[in-house]
Amino acid sequence: MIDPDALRGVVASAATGDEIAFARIVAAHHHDMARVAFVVCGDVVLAQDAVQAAWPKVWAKLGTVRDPAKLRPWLVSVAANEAKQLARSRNRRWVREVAIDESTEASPGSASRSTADPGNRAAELDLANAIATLDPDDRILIGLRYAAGLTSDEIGRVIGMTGGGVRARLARLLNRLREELHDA
Amino acid sequence: MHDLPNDPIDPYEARLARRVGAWTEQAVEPFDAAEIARATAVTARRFGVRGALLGRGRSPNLAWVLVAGVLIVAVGGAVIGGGAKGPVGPAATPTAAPPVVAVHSCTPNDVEAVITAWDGAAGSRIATVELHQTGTAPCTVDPLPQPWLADGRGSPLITGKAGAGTPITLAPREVLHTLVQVGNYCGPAPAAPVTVAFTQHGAAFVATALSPTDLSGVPPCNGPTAAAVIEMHPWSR
Repeated sequence: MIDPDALRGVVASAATGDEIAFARIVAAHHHDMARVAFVVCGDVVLAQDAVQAAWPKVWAKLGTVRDPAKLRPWLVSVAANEAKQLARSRNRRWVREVAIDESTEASPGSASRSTADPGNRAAELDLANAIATLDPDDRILIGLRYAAGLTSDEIGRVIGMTGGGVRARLARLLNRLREELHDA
Repeated sequence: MHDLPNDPIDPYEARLARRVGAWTEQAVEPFDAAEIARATAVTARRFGVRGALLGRGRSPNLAWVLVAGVLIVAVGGAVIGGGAKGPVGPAATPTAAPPVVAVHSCTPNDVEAVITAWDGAAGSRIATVELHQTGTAPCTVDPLPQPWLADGRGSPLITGKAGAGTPITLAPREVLHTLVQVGNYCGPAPAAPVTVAFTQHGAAFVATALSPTDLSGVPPCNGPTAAAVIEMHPWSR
């Protein structure tokens, strides 16, 4: 994590094309972006594609980040939106390509690299299935909150809602997930 | 994995956050930050700060298609200009007419095409495409340029025909939209990403693919004896 005092300088340097400064930002945030993208699209490979697609957009618009404290929420939201777009196209492809026998070709992003413990594996599948039923924008909310650890206000700023609106929507989502996951 | 922020909503959040943290661990892969930064910077400097070539999965070969398009336009213009050394017929009388600023035909320097979705239809694929004016001066787009389906190396898989129509003047930051339908591809498996492209006056606009690995625009083979098809709607605002 970049020291908050140094962050302003790092962002300013990266915005002017300093590759080393940009690499520091990548190093500090790439994993968080991948986690959030994964919550949104549910596929490791797609999540990595989303983060890869996010970095050039970050490079192009880094100069618009005036407050370094807002960098992290913005970065993970860029990755979340890329994942949403990729997931949309991927879902359409699944619908179309029913002839492809996916049952014999393990997805490199899901079962093969998940936890080996059967109990944990079942819990992860339950969670993945529950999140997959959510609206894409709700998956973004879950990712920003529980994969990136953003506050309601931070989420509200990057998705264009009030903090109160975010809290109300998250409360409804929590109730729904609690029921679906039998976590009551 | 992160701690919960200090604005709790519900006690259940802690449990859900732990579950999400464990589940998303599989998305955490090793990466080379310096290499990502270098590749992003190189692409941005070579093709403009928008960085679209890296960001949306265009291969470097596709980039060369853009460069080639610019060269074709530039060389073509020079040849045409060089062949006509002056007006034929009586010498024109100089007048004090106001200067006319001609609106040039758009080149890849002026516009950026982006696929925003691929949809499936019976035996075909339909791309939703946006054309963004990214230049600083107006330029014109043919309403029906020659559409083609391109593979990841920039090679055409299916080539269509251009149509007639009054050119559309596109101001900076304006966006045009179209749908491109492709059908019956019976060739070998193409290199990813598959995208659509448009050629007008020798300049090729290659649309940014949905992702670096996207093959969702490859239509099914409906029969090798039937012709492959690519058609587009006219560009519209």
